[in-house]
Amino acid sequence: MPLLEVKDLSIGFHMPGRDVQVVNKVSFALEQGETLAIVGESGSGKTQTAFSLIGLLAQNGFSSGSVLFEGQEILGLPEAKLNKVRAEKIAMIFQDPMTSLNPYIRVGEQLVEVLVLHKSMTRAAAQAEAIRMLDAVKLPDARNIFTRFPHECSGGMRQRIMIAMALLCRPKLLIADEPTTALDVTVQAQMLELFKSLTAEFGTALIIITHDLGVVAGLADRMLVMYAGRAVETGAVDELFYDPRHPYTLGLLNSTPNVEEKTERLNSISGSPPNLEHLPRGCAFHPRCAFRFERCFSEVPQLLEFGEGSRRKACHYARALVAEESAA
Amino acid sequence: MSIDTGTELLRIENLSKTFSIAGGMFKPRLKLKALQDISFSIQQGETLGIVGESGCGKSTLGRCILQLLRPDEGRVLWLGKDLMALDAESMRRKRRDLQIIFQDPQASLNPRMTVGEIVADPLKTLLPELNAQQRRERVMKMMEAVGLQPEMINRYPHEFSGGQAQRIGIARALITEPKLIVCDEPVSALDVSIQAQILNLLSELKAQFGLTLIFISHNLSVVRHVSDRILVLYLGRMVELAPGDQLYDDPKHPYTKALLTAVPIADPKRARQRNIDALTGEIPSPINPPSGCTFRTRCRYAIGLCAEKRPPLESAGDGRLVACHRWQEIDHMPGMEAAAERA
Repeated sequence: MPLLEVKDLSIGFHMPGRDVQVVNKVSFALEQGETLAIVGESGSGKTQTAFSLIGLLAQNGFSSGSVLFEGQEILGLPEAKLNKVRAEKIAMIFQDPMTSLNPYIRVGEQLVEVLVLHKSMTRAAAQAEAIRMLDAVKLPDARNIFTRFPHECSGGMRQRIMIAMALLCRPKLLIADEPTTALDVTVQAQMLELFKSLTAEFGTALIIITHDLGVVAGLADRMLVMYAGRAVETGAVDELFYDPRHPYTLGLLNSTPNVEEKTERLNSISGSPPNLEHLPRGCAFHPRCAFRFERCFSEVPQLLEFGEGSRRKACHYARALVAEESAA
Repeated sequence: MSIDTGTELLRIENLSKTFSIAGGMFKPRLKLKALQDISFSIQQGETLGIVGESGCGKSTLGRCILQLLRPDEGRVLWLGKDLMALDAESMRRKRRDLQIIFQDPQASLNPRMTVGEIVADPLKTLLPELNAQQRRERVMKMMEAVGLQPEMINRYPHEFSGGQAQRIGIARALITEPKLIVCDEPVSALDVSIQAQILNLLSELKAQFGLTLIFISHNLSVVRHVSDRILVLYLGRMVELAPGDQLYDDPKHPYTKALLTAVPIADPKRARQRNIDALTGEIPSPINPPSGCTFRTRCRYAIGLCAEKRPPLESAGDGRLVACHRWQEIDHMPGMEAAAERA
């Protein structure tokens, strides 16, 4: 049994006078200790997908489908039971660490509270464990940081504190939503190394949500590409990077400038992502797609297995794209 | 317009800018040295990339060049003339030659003006001799040049996506036919597929209008893609200046080396091979910068001299400048980071 199994997850929001669907029948699975990257641009539904795994949809949100974590259904779980799952089994790290820490409470107190509440530890034991965790996330002088307020810490320190807090109860799954986007590149590199060593050390599975393919390449085992609320391609990172089979995956790769060589012109994807309230008929990507044909205008492609292994794509075009592109 | 490459368009000499930070009842006023002793020049038709992490002074530098902020010391020479010596009226007349594109396209457009009004706005103050009909013609032409349909002229900014909004910002900057445009993080707020479109557009417009660009960004991959030469700043000081390929393929300053190894590469096999030798620590406060070389607190090559004496910016051949006491030694150390790994 996989650690996490998501089946036909759909998410929408009630808006004044209408409902808007933002995630449409997304399915994926995650094994213990594995790192999955969910990739997509703004409005692709990647963040809402992650939020629903931990019951964090906004008040006006609604979801259907199934999210099984260790065999237990998460969708529709009452708040009290969700609170047990959160932190103890599944933890989450957000993009902006400042908004996730309480500005009025000292860092140490915020960490100790988690352990006292969830693990019923004594304050002394909780304090020792919290300091151990601050050391594990390589914060120098953990005892000093313990007594500081969040605003007295730098952005990189705050992100490490968030990671330490998330790992305190040794969760099986850590969800990180754009965890390095707000950080400078040298601090980002430190943070990515930290994720790698911590997932190995604690055997934690990781779902990282990002728009940065560089981060994916260095960190993830598998990836899921989302577009306009649907999963369009999934598979091992190497397979998708070296042999992308969905034109959108190919377009994302071509749009990313490479620091190691200068290219004359980037092969950008034309147009812009669709409005979720007025999705094009057929494949939502077809207005921007160079490989489209009649079928794409009328029929929504399903995410289907192809080839060997566990690769799946939602595209009517059957042939390999990279060879076609270079032949063209 | 003929592109006369090789003439020096802009020269910055020993530019410094200090902000003073208000104190409180028990706090003294503090001095934040945002830029110190910046000197470089830009040739016509060139794109100069300015990179560095947050707080390095790159945006302040862009604004000082445009006289949106007044430098404390130094000179900003535009075709040999010191912009800082100009009175307000003469500077206003110069502004049609120097324009800026901002990071957040939506935030930099007035939500209560139509796109046509926004794009035409600079013409009213900078080219008052044009009549309404001439302004309208220019706006239409410019909308088309940046890839917007001229019919969109009566719409409001909120009706546009981020990429389209940035096209509007670009049209507004280009409408006065400037010679130099400062692009301050122009694609950072955009999705990657849109980012590529805007980068392509900028390079087309640069060729079409014979523009000179100053491209400020924290994204080293993007900067490599667009720039001819690159200036690296750290805590308000120049640490390295070099032609693009040379800087990226053979960085001399330890900070440049560290920055480049920290950039994630969108290639899984290369990413696994790479031995990321991340810098430790974070950028020190510019209010109280380290003595001597400001980078020494994070530099693995730092020695006693680095704390005592600030390294001068010296020539490293081929028009390159480096500010490091040990760059020659480091260059010959085997097995070091980016340079060795790339070879």
